[in-house]
Amino acid sequence: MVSVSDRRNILVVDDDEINRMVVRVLMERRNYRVLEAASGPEALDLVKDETFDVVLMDLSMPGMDGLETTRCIRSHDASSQLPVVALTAHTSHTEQKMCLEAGMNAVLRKPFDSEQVDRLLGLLDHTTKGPDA
Amino acid sequence: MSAYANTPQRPLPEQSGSAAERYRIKGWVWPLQQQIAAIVLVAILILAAAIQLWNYRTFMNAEIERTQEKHLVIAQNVSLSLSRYVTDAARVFVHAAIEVSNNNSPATQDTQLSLLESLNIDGMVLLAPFTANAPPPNRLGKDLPLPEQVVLDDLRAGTNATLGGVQISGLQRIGDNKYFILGYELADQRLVIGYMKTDYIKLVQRAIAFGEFGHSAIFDQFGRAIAHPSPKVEENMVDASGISAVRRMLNRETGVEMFFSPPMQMDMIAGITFVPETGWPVMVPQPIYELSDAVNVSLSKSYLLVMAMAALLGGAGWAVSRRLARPVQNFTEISRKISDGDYTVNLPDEERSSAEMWQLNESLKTMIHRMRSSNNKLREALRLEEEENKRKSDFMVIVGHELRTPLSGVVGMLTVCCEQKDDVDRDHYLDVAWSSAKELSALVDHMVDYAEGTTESIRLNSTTFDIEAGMRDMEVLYGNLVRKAGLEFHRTGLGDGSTQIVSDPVRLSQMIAKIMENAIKFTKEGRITLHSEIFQQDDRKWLKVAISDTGIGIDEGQLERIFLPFAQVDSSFTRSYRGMGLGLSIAQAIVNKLGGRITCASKLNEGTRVEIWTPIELALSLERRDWPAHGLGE
Repeated sequence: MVSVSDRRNILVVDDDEINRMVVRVLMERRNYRVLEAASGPEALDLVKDETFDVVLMDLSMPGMDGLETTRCIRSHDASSQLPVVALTAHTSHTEQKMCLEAGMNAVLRKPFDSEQVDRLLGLLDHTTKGPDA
Repeated sequence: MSAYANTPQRPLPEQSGSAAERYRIKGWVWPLQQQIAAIVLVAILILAAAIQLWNYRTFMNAEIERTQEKHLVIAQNVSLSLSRYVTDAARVFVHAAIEVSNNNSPATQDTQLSLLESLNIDGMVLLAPFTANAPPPNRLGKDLPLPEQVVLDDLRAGTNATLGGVQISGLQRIGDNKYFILGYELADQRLVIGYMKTDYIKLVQRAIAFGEFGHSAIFDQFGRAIAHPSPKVEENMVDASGISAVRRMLNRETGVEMFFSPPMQMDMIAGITFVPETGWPVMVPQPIYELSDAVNVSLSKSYLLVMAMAALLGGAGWAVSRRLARPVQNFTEISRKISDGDYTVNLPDEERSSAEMWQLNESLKTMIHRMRSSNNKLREALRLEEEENKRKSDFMVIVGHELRTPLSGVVGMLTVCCEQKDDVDRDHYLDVAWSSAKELSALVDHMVDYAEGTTESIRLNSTTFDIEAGMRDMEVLYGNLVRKAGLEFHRTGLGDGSTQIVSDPVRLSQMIAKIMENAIKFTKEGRITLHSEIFQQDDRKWLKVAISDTGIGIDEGQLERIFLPFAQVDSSFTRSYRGMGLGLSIAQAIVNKLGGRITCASKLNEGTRVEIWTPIELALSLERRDWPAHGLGE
């Protein structure tokens, strides 16, 4: 068993409850500690208080969208290097470009399956230390 | 699009090259103004020539008239002086002949000779009758040879012109000189002849000279020249009896004659007469061209007049051609602009240069007006189509996104289930997947409804049903939904009794469902009221259904857009509400089909009230029909 302190923290930002649930279940099975935020401001509060290894960010949210939230995260020193992955159903080239320009590190297309999640997490392992390292 | 339906049957010729290239005239085509000006010019020239010709004739005739008189008078005067001369000469000759024959003394001879010489008679010979022993001729004055025997015979025979008993022969060349031989037979049968010189006749002839070649000419009774301006003719005593004028005079005619003069080599006009005593032709000719000269002076005056007139007419012609051509040039310029797609041309209000141009101007105005308006319509249609296309493509983006949201719920939940088949929460995950799938299905229904509405394929199925029972069913259905959303629900008006009406219950419930769905979606707190009533207006019975909420309301600026399809469409990421914004469009399509209307009143942050009015009929049938619940994924 891996101790709780060794588990990596993941933040899921999405206004849709079902989407959050899907991510939560999949990530918990991969031994991540999952925190949820239903809006941009909620996410910013959590980022201030906790340390995360990765943020999964939905793009379309009422009020403050994913791009805006990511820019805010990037503007703080503490979280400027935090990997942010876009969760979006918009898949056009311009939107992917917008995501990268806003400071996001990768894009995960909805709907996604286990395989895509594993590949993304593997990719993140190369840039940061893995959960068991 | 209907705007494109009237495409031309015949393809237009390919337009290529610059405007200058296109409008360059191929071959030689005369400009209108030049054509008119040329016609006017030719007409003026013909007219001027005709006038000049007519003037020439008139002037010439007048001149000839004048000349005739003048020449004839001169000729008659010449004739008169010659007549006197020969009469005097004849009398003196007869007197001398008788004196000398009676008294042949030298004194008498001298006296008579000097008398004779004063009349240009050079000498006199008395000839005895021709016999074998005739005495020699008795000579007076110059010793001149005798004329030929023929002449003497004629004189004796009296076949010559006779004047007071004196015979005058034709002109004879005797020695170096020319003489008329005068003959007088004495009582003793002796013949007296005299040599009359032509000096006086020449003097008279020489006295007449006018113009450049105007002169006089005198011939003997045989038509031989006695005195003539041409020395050669005179010297050779040229026989002119072949000339018509001379022949007429020989025939003792007086008048005017035009003829060709061989020695002068030109056409002449002459006054002609004769000396009555001797029959000598006397003519006073002048070249006709000298008359022309006189005519030309008059003619040049009239020429100035004609030229002035031609200049005046020419100016007028130019003005007329300009007046006719200018509007055509204007119209050409205008139609050129139009063909280049420039409709900003300004035509004159009224074109008054001619009736045809006036009409052309009017029809051009109409044409340009129509072209402008159809061009505007075309642009408007294009703009609308572009807008429509934009809305459609926006719609596709939204539809894709909206469908993907529940779809990702389904896929996500099934991914969770499939990944770990023994998860204790598996049933829960499946439930969530199931509800997402239903949401997806409802969205698809919505799109189908909308497609139906916009393709006008809504089919109505009117039937008799109890509207009040229907409203009670609504209360049950939406009461639950509204309360589940944390809101209050009220039903007012119909619903407590029983009223049979004729309408399409399916479509009515569909409309109410769409509006109710919006009310629930856009209301966070407060209440939703469903009100219905039947009333009479314009001889008709109407069913009014009003749904009011205390939701977010609609901005006044947006209010007029809400019935447009995809009005909710807002492709930004911050859109707060899901859905494609088709609900009100569908409701409107249905209410239009039913012959009713839909209105919406709203105030931002206070609430919205949507009213549907549909015409209905009241029915007496008591048959109860179920009011179908429609729409909404419960």
